[in-house]
Amino acid sequence: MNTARSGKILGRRPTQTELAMYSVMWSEHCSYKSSKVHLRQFGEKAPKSDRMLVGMGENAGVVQVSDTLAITFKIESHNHPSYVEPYQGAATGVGGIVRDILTMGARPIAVMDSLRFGAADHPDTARVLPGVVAGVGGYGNCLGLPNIGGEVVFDPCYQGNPLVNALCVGVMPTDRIQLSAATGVGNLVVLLGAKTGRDGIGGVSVLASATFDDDGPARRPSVQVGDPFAEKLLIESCLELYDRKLVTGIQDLGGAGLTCATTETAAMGKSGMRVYLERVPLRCASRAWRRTRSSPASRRSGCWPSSRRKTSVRCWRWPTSGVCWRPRSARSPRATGW
Amino acid sequence: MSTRIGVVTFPGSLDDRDAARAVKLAGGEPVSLWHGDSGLKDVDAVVLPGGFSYGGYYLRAGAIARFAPIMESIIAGARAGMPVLGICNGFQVLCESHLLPGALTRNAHLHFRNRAQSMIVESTETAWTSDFAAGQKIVIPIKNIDGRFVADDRTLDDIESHGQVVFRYTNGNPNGSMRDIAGVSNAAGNVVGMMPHPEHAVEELTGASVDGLGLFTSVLRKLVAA
Repeated sequence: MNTARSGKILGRRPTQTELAMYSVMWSEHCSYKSSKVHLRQFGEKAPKSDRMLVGMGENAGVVQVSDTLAITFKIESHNHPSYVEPYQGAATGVGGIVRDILTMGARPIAVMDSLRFGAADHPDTARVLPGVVAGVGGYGNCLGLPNIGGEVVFDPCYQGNPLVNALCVGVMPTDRIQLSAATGVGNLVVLLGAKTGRDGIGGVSVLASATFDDDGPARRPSVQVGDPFAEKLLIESCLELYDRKLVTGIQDLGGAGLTCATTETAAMGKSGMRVYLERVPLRCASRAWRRTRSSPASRRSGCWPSSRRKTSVRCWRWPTSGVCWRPRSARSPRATGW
Repeated sequence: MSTRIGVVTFPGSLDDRDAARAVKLAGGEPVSLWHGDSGLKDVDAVVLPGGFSYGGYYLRAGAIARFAPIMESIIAGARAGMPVLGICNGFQVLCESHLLPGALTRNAHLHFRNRAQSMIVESTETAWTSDFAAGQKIVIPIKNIDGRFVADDRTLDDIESHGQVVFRYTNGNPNGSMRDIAGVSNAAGNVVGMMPHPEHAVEELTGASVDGLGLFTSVLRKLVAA
């Protein structure tokens, strides 16, 4: 996606922030532009069932298991980050999948992993494997989630491209399901969780959707750094917000950060959203806004609560940092506030 | 009226819900206590659960929790004889609070360990172990990376001679704890800390055993008799 093409869509020259947004959203990681055709089959070929409460298109599927309970589970890869920086890559892979389960309204209860490495006696396997195993185990343990199983295969075909998949399962009352569409003109949008840092910037475009070569720039800064304590507080805060029915919709911030979370949810709700980037709590004050837009920080969620006062009380109880934006705009979906 | 046992939740506590469940299964009434409150809600005993209070990995585990408002009341209560059990991070908090001797440091092999662990009950004189038999072998899960119990030789000799070693690892020391110590008590026997997780060993379906229930039934029996 280049300047000319994005300019044509907008009908004007894109701002630097908008260019950064196009860059991350056009990545394979965010848009599934080449795999969409295959992935669609999961929705089309799935047998119809009354027990499937939520199917394709949301953060995770939800299956009813009793009259009052439902479970949700999802598996996701974090391959390239784990190859570049094994511990943090694998740890934030677990963090990301736990967040998906949380945003469906469930309490995460367990994790699993499925790993593929190059030849067992290859020196690079010795570099990658210990960090991945420690990252998966360490992050889950800090959230109190048992790792209830996993599998590992060594084969030379995974040399230089190990596969690190993490699964999380969560449980919820069937009436607590949360969806991600940002609906309701005038509703507030709240950003919750860890402060935004410089780690992981552009991870979806320079890491997830790229190939590696020895001459390229150092990619380690593109891997985000995990903070399980912040995610644990986010879990407890969100569950209390759900139970008090304060949330209209919720979306976690994945690899493309605020860019993806705000645009996708506004699009699903068929409305616009006014976002004040300068109010985002930063770990480091010197960051440019366009970086703020695409920083992933996997311990955060955006939600649109029905009561600002009650939300701030719940988040104050659990020491979670957050920011509240002005009422959502009903103006053109392309209206931007920066 | 059933016996009320408080379970403290710090930000980052992970096993508070499990501990409350264990109290209930043993026949007590679990009462949630919040780290920022100072009142103990008339509970008869307190459990400090496992986890990472205040993000334990930022600093020495338990070092911040020690200063929580609720700890002031718990420390005062413990000195007055109220039964207190610290599990894993709770044990670390009790050592940091100087209610128990010694300290917990990074495992000798520097790795996280998670397994069903065999232990010997060394002391049945505490508020939390009277339902066991002395020398009884029990199995309780452990899951820690900062679980190595350390103290100077004089302290170790002292607690051994006064019967303050409550549990000792057997069939392999999982973390390099000095003299295989898995749990200790204060001199009065009302405060006990242990690295293994008895709250995870209370049901056949999910636990390695149901040996953990003994700690909770012990304290309930003692409180009812009192």
